[in-house]
Amino acid sequence: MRLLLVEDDLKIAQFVENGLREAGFAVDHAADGEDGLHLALTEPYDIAVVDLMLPKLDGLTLIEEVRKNNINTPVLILSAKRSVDDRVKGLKTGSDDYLVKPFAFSELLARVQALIRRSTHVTAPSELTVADLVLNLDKRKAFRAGREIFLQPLEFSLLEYLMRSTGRVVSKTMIMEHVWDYNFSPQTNVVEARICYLRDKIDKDFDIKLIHTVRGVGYVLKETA
Amino acid sequence: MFLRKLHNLKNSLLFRLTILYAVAFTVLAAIGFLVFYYRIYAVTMERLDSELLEKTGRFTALMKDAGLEGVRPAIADEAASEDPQEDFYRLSNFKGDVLFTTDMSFWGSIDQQRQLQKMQNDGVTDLIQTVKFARRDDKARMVTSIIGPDSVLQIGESLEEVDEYLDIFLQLFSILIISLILVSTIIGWLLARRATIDMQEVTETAEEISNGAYDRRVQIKARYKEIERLGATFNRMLDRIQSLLNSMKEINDNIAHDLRSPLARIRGIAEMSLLQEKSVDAYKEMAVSTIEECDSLIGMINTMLDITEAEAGVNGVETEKFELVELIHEACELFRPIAEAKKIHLQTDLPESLTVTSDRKKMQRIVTNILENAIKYTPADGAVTVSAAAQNGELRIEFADTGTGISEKDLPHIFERFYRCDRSRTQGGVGLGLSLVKAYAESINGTVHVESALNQGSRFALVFES
Repeated sequence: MRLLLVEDDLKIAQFVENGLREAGFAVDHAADGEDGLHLALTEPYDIAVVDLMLPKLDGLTLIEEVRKNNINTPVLILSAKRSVDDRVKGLKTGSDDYLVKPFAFSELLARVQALIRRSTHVTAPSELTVADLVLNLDKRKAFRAGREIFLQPLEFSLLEYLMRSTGRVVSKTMIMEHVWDYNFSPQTNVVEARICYLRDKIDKDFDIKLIHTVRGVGYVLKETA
Repeated sequence: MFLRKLHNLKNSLLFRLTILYAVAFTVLAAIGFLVFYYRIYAVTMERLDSELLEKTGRFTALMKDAGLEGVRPAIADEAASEDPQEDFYRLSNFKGDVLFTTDMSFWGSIDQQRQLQKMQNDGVTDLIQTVKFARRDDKARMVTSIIGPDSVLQIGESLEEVDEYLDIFLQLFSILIISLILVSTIIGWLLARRATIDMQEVTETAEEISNGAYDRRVQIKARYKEIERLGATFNRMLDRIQSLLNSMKEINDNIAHDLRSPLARIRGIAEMSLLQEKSVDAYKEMAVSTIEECDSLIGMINTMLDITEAEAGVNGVETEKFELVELIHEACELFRPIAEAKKIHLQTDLPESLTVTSDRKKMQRIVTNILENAIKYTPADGAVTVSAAAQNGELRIEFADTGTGISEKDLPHIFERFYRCDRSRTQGGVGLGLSLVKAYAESINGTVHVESALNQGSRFALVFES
């Protein structure tokens, strides 16, 4: 997957670039709007990550130009502006998603992957499988090593979200947003408590643990530690 | 420089009011005098005319009784008693042959044909005119009257006397008008100054305040109601600004503390890691601490922005119809594991359904924040009860706990930003939760009420007009 990153803050650009490379992306970085536009118009990319406040050419104009040239590469805006108006303006210009700085890298990665999934039209599976853990989405049932595990609706949603993001770290904020539909995290660590409950049901009786805590960042569901 | 001063003067309220007053007063007075003048003029002329007509009437009657021969000496007698410079008498036939006349050398010739023509057209026997004579400067009032068959009598009287008399009036009026303009200008200026002098005071106070004297206030003297109101409004505005300034200052002080402390911790941790070689785990620990401190900083800044935006009304309110009971249940479910871990009995007293039209995300956050506080400040084996009901046109959500409660000293301040009852700040949190609750509740037309007793518990109530 080829990814274009247009970002003038070199420190941010570097960690995003490194992170995305590790996640398997081929990243091209442009440090200003004009370079970014040139690359976007001449190279085929699967996705572009664009900052709004850029030297030479601002991000919104860049996106407008790209869309005028009938290039439908999904675009994710990265910006320090957090007002609803700015978001709406960004999305109206032709971008597909909006992430406010400062952001968690794990969230950026999740959103980038979601955009690619959407643009490549991968059909939703009816069953998710990680190692010997199987989640049947139609019947809303969970099985570990063939044994049915009884989950509450919230626990099922949480496990589903973790399994859909298999191998990727999801932050507490992302869990609150996707599982609870809350756009904020309470001070008290309510997610941690839920994960504990889920661990008791999924991992407690098995040698291979699937749910791992990445301290300070979030949680990840994967086969190996 | 002078031009600018003049321009400023022209645009000053004092100047405008004075001019307006003077002009209005003078115009009204002038109109009054003109009416008076013309009334006097008209009365004088009427009297003169009736005198002239009375004379011709007398001669007409004599003509009927004694004929031309009797009339002629009577006219001569009458004329002899008058000054030929002031009055003239002229008797003629229709052809214009003069039958009798006084000395016309002071007057000039008279053409009678025009008058006769006009009288014939109008069908009258008397015609009164003001006539200008060739040999005189003043005008004269002249009556032309047919006093018998083929006899025309013309009597003229100089208007010199009348003119002199009216001139005196005109002079008097002119003097009066000029003094009126002067007096009304002065009175107008005094009146306008009285009105603006209080405004001047407001302006001076405003100037002092803009120079930094924020505690100055306008004296409210009851001279004019309007100015009094201006002063009162001005003072109220100043009070509000000052309280805002004070709260800003307080917030600044708090930011200084609450934002700097985590920064100091981050810096400290990083510095310590660099000073000595450490194991990878220790570096990881540093990274974890850094992320945690950063997250709490970001959270704090975002919450502060959320509060400011809600208070300023930017970004608006997104209303939608939703099930409030469900929202409260969800919030309770969110905290149930925490409550269970603390052995707190979390219970609800809710109706079957409560559909409301409001901002769901904001409501979610309000409910979650209060509930979180209730659980946080309730010790083990305590109870937290959430109830909701719609009655008397209002929606009421109550959160009652058996927690530590809030002291009377703290109660008035709990909604202030960064206010924490526990000054030592041992309990987590930054003191923004309830500020956000208040700002959000008010932005969706709600109010927050609280009653509390120390060591017995608190009861928060959200009230929305439905």
